[in-house]
This record gives sequence, structure tokens and C-alpha cells, in this order.
Amino acid sequence: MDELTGGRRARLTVTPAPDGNGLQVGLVGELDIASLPEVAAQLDALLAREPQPLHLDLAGLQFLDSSGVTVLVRIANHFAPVTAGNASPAVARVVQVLGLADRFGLDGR
Amino acid sequence: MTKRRLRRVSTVVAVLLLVITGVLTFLTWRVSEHSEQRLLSRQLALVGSLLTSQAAVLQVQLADVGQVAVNTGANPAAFARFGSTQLRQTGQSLSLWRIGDGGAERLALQGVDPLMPADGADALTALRPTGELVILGILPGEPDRLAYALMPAEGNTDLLVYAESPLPDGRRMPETPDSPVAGLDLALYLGRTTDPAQLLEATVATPVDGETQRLEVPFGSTAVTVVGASPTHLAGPLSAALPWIVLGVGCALAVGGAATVEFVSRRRAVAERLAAENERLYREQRGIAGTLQLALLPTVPELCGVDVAARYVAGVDELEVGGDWFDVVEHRPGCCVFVVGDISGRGLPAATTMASLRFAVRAYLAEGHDIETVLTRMRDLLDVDVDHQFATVLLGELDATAGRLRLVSAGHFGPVVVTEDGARLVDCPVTPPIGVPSRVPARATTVQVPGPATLLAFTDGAVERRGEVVDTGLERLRRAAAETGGQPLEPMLDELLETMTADGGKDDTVILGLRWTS
Repeated sequence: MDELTGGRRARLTVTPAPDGNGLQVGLVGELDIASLPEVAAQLDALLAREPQPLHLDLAGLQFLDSSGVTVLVRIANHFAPVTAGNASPAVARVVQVLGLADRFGLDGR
Repeated sequence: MTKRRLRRVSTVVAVLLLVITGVLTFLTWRVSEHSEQRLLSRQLALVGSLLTSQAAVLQVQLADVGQVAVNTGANPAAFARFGSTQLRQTGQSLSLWRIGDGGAERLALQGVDPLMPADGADALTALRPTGELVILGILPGEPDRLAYALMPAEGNTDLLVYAESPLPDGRRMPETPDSPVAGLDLALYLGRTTDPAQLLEATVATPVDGETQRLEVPFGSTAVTVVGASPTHLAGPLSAALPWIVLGVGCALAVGGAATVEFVSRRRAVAERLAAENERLYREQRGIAGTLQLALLPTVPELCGVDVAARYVAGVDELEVGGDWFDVVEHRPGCCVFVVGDISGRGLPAATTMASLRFAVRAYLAEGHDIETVLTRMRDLLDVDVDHQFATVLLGELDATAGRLRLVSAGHFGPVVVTEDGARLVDCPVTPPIGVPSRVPARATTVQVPGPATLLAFTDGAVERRGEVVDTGLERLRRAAAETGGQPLEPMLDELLETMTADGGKDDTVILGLRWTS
């Protein structure tokens, strides 16, 4: 884990989308109330960008709690359209339980 | 640790080290003394062998003179010729005597006139022709002399050789730095006692001071008693200083050790005091967090027709207040509205948001709004983009008399209902949490649950565990509820809480229980 996140528990990366249309945001590690400050700076930088299409790659996300979901919600509120993919069943289920599956096109079941 | 105890520890250390030092010093001193005595006794033995050889020299001298006298028929000229070669010291006297019935008659004399023993020549008549050296004693004179004689054992047995040798001036032995016994305090006494009158010679004023040793050495017909002591250490200055070195170093160590113990103990006492202070502060802070949380949560109301019980436990990090809450408001007898909610995040922001939402729900209900409207209106109170928080809320309206349950959820789990048929998780449509913009209007789900039944509403702390899908926790809760459903409500919640938080959940946990019979 540490080699993935450089000693931190959570990391947020922003890259241009592979198709050149909008952004791709990767979330890696364990995103919870304790690690929230670790992505705060990148999140603020991301939210300062122009609204545009955005895809969330959740492949590296191992844990997500309701505090972590606020990150996803704030991204979803700012950009449009927002899609998400590669979420693990546990992560997808957290989003789904909160009634937010529709927002990210995630199916937790 | 008190100061008195500190002193005691360092005193004990100092005393202990001093005792060890004392024992070591004593042992070193004993070893040093022992080796001194051993060396001294060897030195005295050397003196003894010198004396023995000296006695032998005297005996040979007189025997030779006697032999010459016998062989020459007591010729005075021959005696004079041979006797003069035997006189090696000034003040010596050598004479040849004939012992007859009438007494002793001097035949010849070499050297100075003899002083002769007190009883004169009669002392000589008592001698027997044994060929042995006979010591006749010390004669007072200027200087005193040692008298000795010998009767040849062979030939003409009436001849006797008599000699006197001066004792050194003041009986003081001449200093001979090259002597193997130089540096020793020595006194030689004639006979087997240390009678001062019988002192032959000594290197110091008698009696000899210090740790003396005695040795008796045969000397002719009598013996010489040697008394010796060493004014300096025979084994050298280091051996002499060793006990003092041990004592000095030991005392320094004792003082240093005690000081170190005192220093370390004081440091430790300070550290312990700080730790105790930190722990007190921690407890105090933890107490403040707990007190604040409990102050924000309602007291469990007593309702007509519905039993109510609730449990709240703080998560691992008990220093912070959490954002979990519950509330129960009576609509009318047998009908109540309950709320269970959870603010994402922790700390004071979460707690204050929780408090404002809890009172907002009460206010909307007091205005007579339905739970659907209450939930919709709550959406205006929080915005995740501004507050960086959202809230999950389960609002329920229980009509116990009719056995009817209405539920609306904003991102929150539905309740578990335990009836005679078992325990099940009530599925209710979930709208996004409060704080997340949503155009989907809240629509209440209605479920018929005739009593006797128990409803359990809870927050995610009860069911969410790292490394597992939340459904696993939900199923665990459902099973635990089914198993404990037969108990009275209060002990049931206690047991549920114990089961669900046994692994030390990280988050706050609220469990609200309602029980009714219709």
C-alpha cells in the first residue's frame, strides 16, 4: 500500500481522459475521515477547474466511508457528466447504500 | 515517587557500595599483609643461615688453633704464629689454656688481654673436650665482648682455646647496603629470649618496633634469637598503596553511584508525574467529549404503548464527539416518530450539525408536517459543497395501535424488525443523503408490522467493518437481533451492542429500539 500512495493512505490523481474528452480522476488507498486531509489539496485544485466531463477510476480504492463519499459527491456536483468505474463490490455498495448509485452509474449489487 | 523514597534508594545504593568497598579493602589489605609476612619470614631465614655459617666459621677457627696446639705439644711459638693469622678483627683476643686439676693455666695469648668471665678461669674448667664451640656469654667492657671457647676432642684433651670478640660499638650493626637483608630492622639476642642485656647487635634501637617476627637459630652451644621487622613494604610501594587505592576508588564509586541513582530516579519521577498529568488531561478531555455528546442526545422518552430504549457508544477515538444521533417524538398515544441519523465526519462541526438537524426535525414535526415533508425540508439545511458534510437520516412513523410503519430514508439503512416470524431488514427506497442535491422527492414506504414486534434503527458504526461488504455486517446484525429478540428491550440492546462492537468498531454507534404490542 505504501508504495502505491507514497507513505500516505489515500491519494487523488488527475489525468486527461484517454479519449481526450475531459478528465480522469483516480482514487487510490483508503479514503475515510482520517485520510481525508491527505487529498484535500488535490480536491480543491480539481474543483477549481472548469466543469467538464469526468470519469472516476476507483480501481485502487480499497476502503471508503461516508466521509470519503463526500469527496465523490463534491466532484459529482461540480462536473458533468460524471461517471465512475472499476469500484470494488465493497466500495460500490457503500455508494449504493447511500442512495447515490445513480449519480455515478455504479451498481452496487 | 516521594523525595523521601528517592533519598532512601540512593542511600541504600551508597551504603551497599561502601560495604563492598570495605570488604574489598579489607581483603586487599589482608593479602598485602600476608605477602609481607611471608617475605619477612624468608628474609629472617636468610639472616638465620648467615648466623649459622658464622658459628661454623668460629668453630672451625678455634678447632684449627686447637689442632695446631695439640700437634705441636702446645708450643707457644707455633700458637703465636698460627693464631696471629686467625685474628681478623682488632680488639680480638685468642688464648691457649691448659686445664689441670688446680684450675686453668694460660699458656699463650694473641691479641688483646682477655676480659675473662666473671668467675675467671674457673669457667673454663667446666668445659669438656667435645670439639664443640661453647658460647660463654657477653662480657662487659670497653667495648663489650663475646666470649667463646673450644676444647679439641682428640689428642691431648687438657688444652683449651679461648677467644673474645668485641661487639660493635653501641651494639649497632654496621650498615651494609649491599646485604641481602639491607633495609630490615633486625636485632640479634644471645640465647632464647630477647633480654636487652643479651643483645648482640641490632640495626635499630631496641626493642624493634612494628610487625616483628622471631626466629631462633642454633649458635654453638646456645642459640641466637633474631627479631626482625620491615619498616618499608617488601613487596613494593604499589602493594602498600593498593588497599588505599581500592578504598579511594570504592568511595568515589559509592558517591558517584548514589548520585547517579538520585539523578535517574528524579528524572523518572518527573516523567511519571508528566505521564500521570497527561493521563488526567486525556481522561478529562475524553470526559468532555462524552459529556457533550450525551448533552446533545435526548433522554429516552417514556411513551404510551411503545417501549423505547437507545444506546450510544463512541468509537475508538473517544476524544472527539461524533455526529450520530437519535430522537423519538410522540405524535399521539400509540403513535410516534423516530429519527436515526449520522453526520459524515467527526468532531465539533459534526456535533453541531447533528444538533441543528435534530432540533430542525423536532421543529418541523411540531409544525405538524409529515415525515416526507420533513425530509424534503431538511435538504435545505445542509450543502456538501459548502459544509463538506452530509447527513444520512432515517425517519420513521410508527403507529403501534395499527401495527403500521412508514419510513423515509436519506442515504440511511432501513431498520431491522424482529417479530415472531424472525428478524428481517426492512427494505426502503433510499434517496441521496441530506446535503446532496436531489430532485427525487421523498416517498414514504409503508410496512405492516403487527405487534408484538421490535424495531431496531441503527447507524453505520454498528454494521460497517473495514475489509468486508456492508451486507455482511447487516446480516450479522439481523442474526444477532433474531437471537436476542426474546429478551426484554434493555438487555437485548446491551447484548446487541456487545455483539456488534466486540471487534472495536472505529466509528460511533447508535442503536435505537422500539417495541410494541398491538
